[in-house]
Amino acid sequence: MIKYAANARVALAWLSAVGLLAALGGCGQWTDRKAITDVRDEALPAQPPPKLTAAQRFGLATVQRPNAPPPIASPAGVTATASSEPLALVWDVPDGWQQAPERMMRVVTFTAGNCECYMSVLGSAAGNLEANVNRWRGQMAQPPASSEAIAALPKVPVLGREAAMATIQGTYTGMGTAPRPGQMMLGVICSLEEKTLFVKMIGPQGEVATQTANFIAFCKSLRLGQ
Amino acid sequence: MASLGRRTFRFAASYGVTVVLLFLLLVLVFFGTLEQVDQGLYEVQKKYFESLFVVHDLFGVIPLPLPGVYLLLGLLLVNLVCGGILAAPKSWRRPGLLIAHGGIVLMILAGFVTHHFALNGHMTLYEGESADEFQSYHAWEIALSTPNGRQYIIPGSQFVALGTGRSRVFYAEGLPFELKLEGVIPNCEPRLVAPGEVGGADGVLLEALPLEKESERNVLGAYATALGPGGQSSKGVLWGLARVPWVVTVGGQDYAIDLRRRRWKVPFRITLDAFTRELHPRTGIPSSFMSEVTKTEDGVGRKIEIKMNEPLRHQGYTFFQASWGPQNAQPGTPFYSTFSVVKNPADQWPLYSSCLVSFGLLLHFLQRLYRYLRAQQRGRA
Repeated sequence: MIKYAANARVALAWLSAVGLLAALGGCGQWTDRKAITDVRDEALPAQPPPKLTAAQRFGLATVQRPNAPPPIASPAGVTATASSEPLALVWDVPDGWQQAPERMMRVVTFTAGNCECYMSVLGSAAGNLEANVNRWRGQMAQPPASSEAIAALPKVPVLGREAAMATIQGTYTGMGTAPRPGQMMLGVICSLEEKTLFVKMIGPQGEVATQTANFIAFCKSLRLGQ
Repeated sequence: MASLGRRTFRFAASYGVTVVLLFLLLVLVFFGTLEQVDQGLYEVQKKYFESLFVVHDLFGVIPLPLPGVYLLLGLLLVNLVCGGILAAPKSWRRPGLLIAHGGIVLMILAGFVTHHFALNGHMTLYEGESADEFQSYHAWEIALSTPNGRQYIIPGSQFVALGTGRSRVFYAEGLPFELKLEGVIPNCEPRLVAPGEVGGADGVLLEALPLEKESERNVLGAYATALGPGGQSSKGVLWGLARVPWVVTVGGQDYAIDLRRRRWKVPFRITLDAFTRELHPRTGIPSSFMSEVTKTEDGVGRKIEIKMNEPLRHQGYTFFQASWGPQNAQPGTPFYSTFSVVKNPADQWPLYSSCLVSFGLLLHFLQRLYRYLRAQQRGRA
């Protein structure tokens, strides 16, 4: 009994010492201020990142609806304005496309198999062509394209104007979704007065490839309605 | 009466302590394995296997405090060194058990080194793509980029615990502003602030989501404030799936602040030249797959094949063929290949440990067998 009691005392001393060490190790590590010590020199990106609002950076976008709150000024000083009047559009629905339930910030959404095509209209401060194409390329885990490559993108006639169309393959990461490899994105950007119209299709590469003609036909069919 | 030191040593070296420690390890492995079903591997590993203490909810109701596996293995290491090596009889006639115990000590040290120093991540490349960095499955970092290409990196360990009510200000020499981080949410998604709603920043609010069982699916979010000179400040939102960084202007210069998965550079570049897979005959089930890559270092390229169970090992980095896609690729569809990348100084230590333990036990058993047969022979004589 004396032996076990002695061992128990030693065990208790051990555990106390370990517990004290663990507690002391945890103390004194938390500070309200911390110096950044990991500093690296990296190659400058081909394009500096665009200055966008949080909503634009996260793909929430801003669409001005009637009686909407006034424009929000971002900390970077960019004011995200939107059109004061909604754009009344009509279109021809390609065969095999189904209209999906209304989604926030979108004019209309369609599904075709596993592909999703949607249209949105943003204010003129929605970024220029280059910024938007490279934003899409970033979504598809692709490096930014050069100004020359973007200027050479094929054009599609939309609402009486020549709109650039981007075709991007890669791993797609949308808002709040896990990365999806093997995807293809078709994107059309049409600059209007004080507005920018976006038509975008995303889905598995093979399926989007077969829907390309339908996508172009849809874009061409857009017209202003009553 | 033995001194306290001698009693402590005898206690530390005792079989009783070994039995108790091994029993507790068994209990923790059992509880951890069961909890993994609900919580996922990464969270269970942190809670049970990388902690000093853990509270397990017995039957989901009774809180049961237990020592963590990290603490138990530390104590087992002390016990093994004291009892299995220092106090053990040392003789050329019985080296086997000493060698075997030494092997087990090496295994425990391998776990310690791996836990503290190993890097683990992935590199995904499409055919034709190349990269010289890999990123973590779980860890985050914030990168502050200056107009001249300098990057200031804040590792996730310094800010992921900044939940509600906690904040921390980061600063660096050469950076003309400080960055305050607060309100970190381990899994969240952003939404627009509704009219009249209070909270958020830059018109966006981070909405907390339940933690995913697969930890790599959690997307971190945080509120950040750039504190410039003269009391200027600019508040914004950082989110792990943002398409572009948050750009702030200080002193007429733009600085990009990006919350992203932790990245590590490798001292060479990997280019995926081609990915090939073979299917079992008349099925869509892959029988084997292989990546043909070019490793470029100091301007010199070398063609290498990376297959299952045949990784690329170079400069302490190991590239395993982990996965590929798209799974139902049509003919002509470009493939991507995902490499699991590991940098672990103790990468081969478990192998050396197994060899030492096997050799030690084999030697011990052969010596025992020899002595037994000799005794039998003498007995007959």
